[in-house]
Amino acid sequence: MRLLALMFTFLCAAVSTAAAQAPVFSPEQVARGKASYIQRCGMCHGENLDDGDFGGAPLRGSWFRDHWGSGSVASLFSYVKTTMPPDNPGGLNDTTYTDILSYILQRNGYATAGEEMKPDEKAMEAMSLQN
Amino acid sequence: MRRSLNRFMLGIAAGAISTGGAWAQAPASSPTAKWTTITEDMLRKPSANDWLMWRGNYASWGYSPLAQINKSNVKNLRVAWTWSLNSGVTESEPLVHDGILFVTNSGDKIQALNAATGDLIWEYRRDLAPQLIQQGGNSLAKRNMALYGDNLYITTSDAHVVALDARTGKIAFDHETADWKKGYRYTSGPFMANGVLVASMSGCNLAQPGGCFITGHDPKTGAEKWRVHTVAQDGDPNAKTWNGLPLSERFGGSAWIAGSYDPETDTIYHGVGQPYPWIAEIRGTTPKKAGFDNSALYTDATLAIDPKTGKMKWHFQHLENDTLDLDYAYERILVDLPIAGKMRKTVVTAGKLAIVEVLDRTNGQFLWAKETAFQNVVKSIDPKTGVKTINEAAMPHIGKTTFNCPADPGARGWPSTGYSPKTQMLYMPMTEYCSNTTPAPLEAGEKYTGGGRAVYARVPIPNSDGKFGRLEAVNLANQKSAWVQRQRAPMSSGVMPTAGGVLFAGTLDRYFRAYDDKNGKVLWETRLNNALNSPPISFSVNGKQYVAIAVGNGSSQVRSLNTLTPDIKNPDGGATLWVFAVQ
Repeated sequence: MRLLALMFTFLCAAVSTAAAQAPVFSPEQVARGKASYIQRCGMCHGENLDDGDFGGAPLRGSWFRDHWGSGSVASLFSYVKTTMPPDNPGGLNDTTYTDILSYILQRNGYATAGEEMKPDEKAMEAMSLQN
Repeated sequence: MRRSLNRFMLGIAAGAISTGGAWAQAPASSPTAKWTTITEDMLRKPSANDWLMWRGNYASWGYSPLAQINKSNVKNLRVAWTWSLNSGVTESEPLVHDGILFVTNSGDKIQALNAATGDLIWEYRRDLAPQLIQQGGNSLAKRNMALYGDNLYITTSDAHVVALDARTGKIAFDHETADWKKGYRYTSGPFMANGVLVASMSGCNLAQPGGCFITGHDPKTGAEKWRVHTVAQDGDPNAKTWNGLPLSERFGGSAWIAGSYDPETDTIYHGVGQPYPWIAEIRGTTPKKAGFDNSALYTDATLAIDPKTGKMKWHFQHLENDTLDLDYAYERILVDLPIAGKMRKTVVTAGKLAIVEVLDRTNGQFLWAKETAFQNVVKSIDPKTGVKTINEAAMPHIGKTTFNCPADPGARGWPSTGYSPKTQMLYMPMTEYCSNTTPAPLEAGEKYTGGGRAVYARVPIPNSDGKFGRLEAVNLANQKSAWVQRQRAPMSSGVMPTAGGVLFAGTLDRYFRAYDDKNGKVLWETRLNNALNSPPISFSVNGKQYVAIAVGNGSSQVRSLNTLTPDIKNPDGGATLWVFAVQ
């Protein structure tokens, strides 16, 4: 029993440590993501990420924080990939989804790093959106 | 080879010194040799062989008087020729005159084609800023063009009105109407009204102070003769309908569908879109302030305009203080109808609610209305005044999610309805669905930069049977529904009734169909290569009738409808002009 409790504590700590990592993405990726975003997402979500014209949710500011700010990059990636674009869910390739995500994160104040974010959901699980 | 190289070099030189590039290829057999100058009389009584203007005639019927293709032989319709268009949003209604077909491609590329063979005669390519190209979407599409004299008139994605010589594609004039960098965009083309070229500005979803406008131009020079603002300006008594908002905070009123013209009353009839941002509580027109009105004129209205002076003769607002993006921008059909034993000159329209609304076009008096597709926004309509009682439960409020039908793209979107004088029926392409709507207020201290400021989660109507598409015929003489055809795929094209008793229409799942205009029975169908999102047209060359329709993916309307039916898959590219004839 004691051993189980110890393992539980250890696992929680591991998850907590892993999830505490900030998102990692590169400036080049943000630039690519911006171009893809304008083409693929801009009509509904707007060029400024909250001024769309066809009913898309705001992708920055308090709306973004309230909906995604307590989760991981993986949960956001999974949602976007399985539901967007809504007329053709899953219709982009994983790298494009990841680039677009990087752009959205950068517009929400997350800092870029030297490394690119890979379309790797396990690695994304370790990236927390809490800041 | 040398000749080709010279032509190529010449093309480069011409492109370098003009705003766009024109390329002409007119062999001896080209129909340009038989071109006849288009007069006002020809526009008033267009030849059945031509498709001279947006919706086929000044009254916007979208009707072909040709009857060679009829209920008996439409089953033998086969492809006559096809022409690939630029990939991208394709909402293009071609024009035809003297055997020349004019078509606009996404990105403002215009082509003149031999209407019988599909051979290219000339093309004009506009040099658009990379920013516009990158944005893509609706702004790169144009729904229509205009013909008059020897010119083809177009509007451009960078907010110019341009005249091209219809025989060569060379620029006759190029007039800047507004600064595209401020968000102004033409998405529909110009139209003629008693010798005046009229252009309708859109793109006013991007916080342009004072909203959009309709302009009248000299067709010889492009010079602007008048400007009618679709949002009441300071000095206009109706400025008080904006709940005390200063002009700098009155947004919207895109006039994004071309209007109609009635020679008898010498009047332009034009629709106006919704106010921005959509949500009235965010816009500042709700709650209503003491001492002000809050109907937000002239949004969601019909405007009657003198074509020579631009004077507004009357207006009728179909929806006051719209808070759900329920446009009334669409076509105005002009038809004389029996009402209470008297013939009345009427103007007929339907907004996104798909309620048929009929006004006296001499004075704007409301005559009657009829509900068609499922909606829960309007509870009732006063039969005398046309004033609508709104279902408050469907109205969005900040901090809540509410349920409204239709959703933002409308039970009817921009694809045009059509009217047949043979059946006296109005044919309406529609889609039935609803939305869970959540306002998205501005951040504290944030300045409004544009957009609707609402999140629409589109869902089927209550107790849906899974069929979204609805094609309905409403008899305008007896004010009753004549027939309804429904299927899963949303209706996505405009419609065209013909004198042959055949109604042509298309759906999101790439089917082009011919229906019996009296009962809706499907007489013929074929599957094309992409979503049908343009109105069909018909014309005749050398005694042979043709039917044409442009297809293509990517418009906000197609993409929005596809969110209801993501199982319907269409290609990203592959915009095409299809032309059919009976074999």
